Amino acid sequence: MVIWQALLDGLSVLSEKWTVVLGAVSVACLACSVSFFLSRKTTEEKAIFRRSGLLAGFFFVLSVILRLTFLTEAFVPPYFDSVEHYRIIKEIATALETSTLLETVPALTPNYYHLGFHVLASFLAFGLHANPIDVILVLGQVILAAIPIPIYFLIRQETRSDAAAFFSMLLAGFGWYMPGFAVNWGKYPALAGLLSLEIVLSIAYFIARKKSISNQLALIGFLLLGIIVSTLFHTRALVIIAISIASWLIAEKMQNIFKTLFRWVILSAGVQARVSRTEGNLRPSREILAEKGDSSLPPVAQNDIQDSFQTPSKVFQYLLLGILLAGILVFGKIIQTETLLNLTLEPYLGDGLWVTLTVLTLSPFALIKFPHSVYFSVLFILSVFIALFIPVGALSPGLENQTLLDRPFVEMVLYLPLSILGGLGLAGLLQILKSISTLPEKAHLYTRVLITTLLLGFTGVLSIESYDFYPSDCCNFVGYDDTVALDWLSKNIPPGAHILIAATQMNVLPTGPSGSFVGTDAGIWIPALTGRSISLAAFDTDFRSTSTLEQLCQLQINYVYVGGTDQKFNAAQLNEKAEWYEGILFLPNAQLYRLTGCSQ
Amino acid sequence: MKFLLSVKHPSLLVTFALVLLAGCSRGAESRPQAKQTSAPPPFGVTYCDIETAHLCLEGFGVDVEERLLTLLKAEDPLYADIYINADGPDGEILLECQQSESFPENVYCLGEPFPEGELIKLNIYSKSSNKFIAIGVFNVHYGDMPESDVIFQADATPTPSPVPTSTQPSYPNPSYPNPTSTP
Repeated sequence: MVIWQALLDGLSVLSEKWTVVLGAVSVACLACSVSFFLSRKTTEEKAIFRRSGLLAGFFFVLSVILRLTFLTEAFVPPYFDSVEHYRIIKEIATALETSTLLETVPALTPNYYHLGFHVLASFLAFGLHANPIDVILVLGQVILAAIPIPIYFLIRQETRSDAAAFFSMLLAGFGWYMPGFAVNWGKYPALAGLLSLEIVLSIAYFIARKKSISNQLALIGFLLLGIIVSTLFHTRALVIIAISIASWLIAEKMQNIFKTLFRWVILSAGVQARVSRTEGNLRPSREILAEKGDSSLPPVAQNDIQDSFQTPSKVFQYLLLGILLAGILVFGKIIQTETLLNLTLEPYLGDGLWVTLTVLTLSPFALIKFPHSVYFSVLFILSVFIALFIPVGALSPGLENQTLLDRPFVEMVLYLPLSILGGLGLAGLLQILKSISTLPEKAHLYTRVLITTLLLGFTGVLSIESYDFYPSDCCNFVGYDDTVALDWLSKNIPPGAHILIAATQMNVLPTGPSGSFVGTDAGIWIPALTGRSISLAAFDTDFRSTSTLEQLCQLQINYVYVGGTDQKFNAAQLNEKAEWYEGILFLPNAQLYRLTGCSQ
Repeated sequence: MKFLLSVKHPSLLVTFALVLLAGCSRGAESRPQAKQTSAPPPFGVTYCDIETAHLCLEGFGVDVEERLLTLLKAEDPLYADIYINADGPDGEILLECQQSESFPENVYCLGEPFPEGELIKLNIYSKSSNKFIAIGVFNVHYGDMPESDVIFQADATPTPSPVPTSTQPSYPNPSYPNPTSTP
């Protein structure tokens, strides 16, 4: 029922803003086509490839419609970050119109470093002659809908299973409330960075896996370009790319390292001699087998020898895997106990626990069939956990309290290894079932179809049924009353007015709140939408205090804005001090007061 | 044309077509919409919480000049350019309506104040055609607004201030809250 309403709402937004939606969808299609073409290059059967493309395309269209539902209750992009996004995009779009881009961009924002999303949105706003607010909202939702698509092609390529790839795509899109919830935080550059880094990882994967591809150089060029673009979208995407590449390489080496290590252990412990004696002077190595040729040993003996070599090697691998998992548990526990980090795992251990458990249950099958990718996922998770604690203060003077990755970014990105694990797990399970030779062929087929249907249905129902496609109350600062209040304000108070708005300290790092204030209600949009200047004060400021009044008078505040969020100024206190603060606009969820106490 | 037909990747064509469509729509959007309406009977307006079709009422407010603000939302832009003749206890009054500049679907109408709890009948007319398009009857409620003689009392005698106290907890108060972080 929820999903039908969401679909209807999404379609209504689509019909209303179809121009911007088409523009944003074009951009997303162009981005996803990289994964699509790479997949085509390496898919033998064109019919299968077309089917895969249709499946991913259908999922994307459906996702776009569902995601657009967000716009039915959002007048502006949510949270405080979005005001800055709007300002930058509007200025770049204006610069494009007046052909002053080269002068505008350097002056825009000296300290802001990820302009990729803003440039993209500006070009769309300029090209489509659209309102930047609409462009940010629509582009954000379309990017969100596109995020699962590269995962689909990646898993499809690794497993050759549409079901597994679809399962991964479903998990990446709707398995947990992340990364979708990040639009409530106005994390548009980070979401664009996620999509971009997924495409970079796809290119890297194809380079690593398909060494015989003729245009390897062109792919490497694309890879470098992708890394630059991802970094422009969000600097932390570069950290994730580095973590991914390192995890992939380490995972690849892990198997070889342990084979070599085990050989060394055998030789040094004199096990080789014992094995030779017991197995009739046969050395347990593949090289010896190769030297002698397949015919020199009966097949059973060959298997025994290989098993005698591989089993302990695998034991070592599993031992290391155990250590890595223990590391994840330890860091997970530390994260859970840190007051400001404990939200990191909530999407995956709170509402999304059942989906996470499903993925974990499938992981052993992934380990059996796709050990490299499982090691990669585990290393990836451990690395992003550790990156939460690595300070980067030494890199730049402005980053004293910063760490390599911050809590919101880690919270957003954990869907990636989990979705991969889920897809590989399903593929592994299906492959294992296929290899059981005791069952008749039809029983095989029915069992696999049943398991796939059950898993997709279970996960789909669990995740989509409880999925919230609408803006969250936590972060949707501008309500209906605010839009009227801001319009009234722009028409009824002087252009030079100075308005006090509610704020709180930025508080996301375990080192404690930073010194910077961020807006907590619609007042943060006053400069952008009305041109009036603002000052920020803690939302729990006591307006009954004379010292507050004195400070406001010193700051030459003329008005106080009270919005409709939880973290707004206390209107009751302002009403109580009517001799200092004169109510000049009263709407049920927005009020404006004139500061009159300074002249007394 | 030959080039297009020879393209092997249909998705490239789709993307190309989407870009073209989006570009073409720029011109299409800028053309004035000449919609003919054949004077349908006036429809009922209700609260937006109940029904949002065409036009709905969000609530009422008051400004410093003690004008009543009637807050309306027009789901359909055709119903955003309006004025209201309101029937109140002292006869009919005109409420001038204006659209929010940034959010044109949000309309607010200014006029003589109505006492709290008073019944108000809104007869809504289209500004362009001067046609009677909608009707609604509501009780005027200003929400949790304090007594009007308090809110607009600018020249009252100052009273001694109590000691400043924080009324709401500010820590821990994580930025970027999760859905469960808010009540």
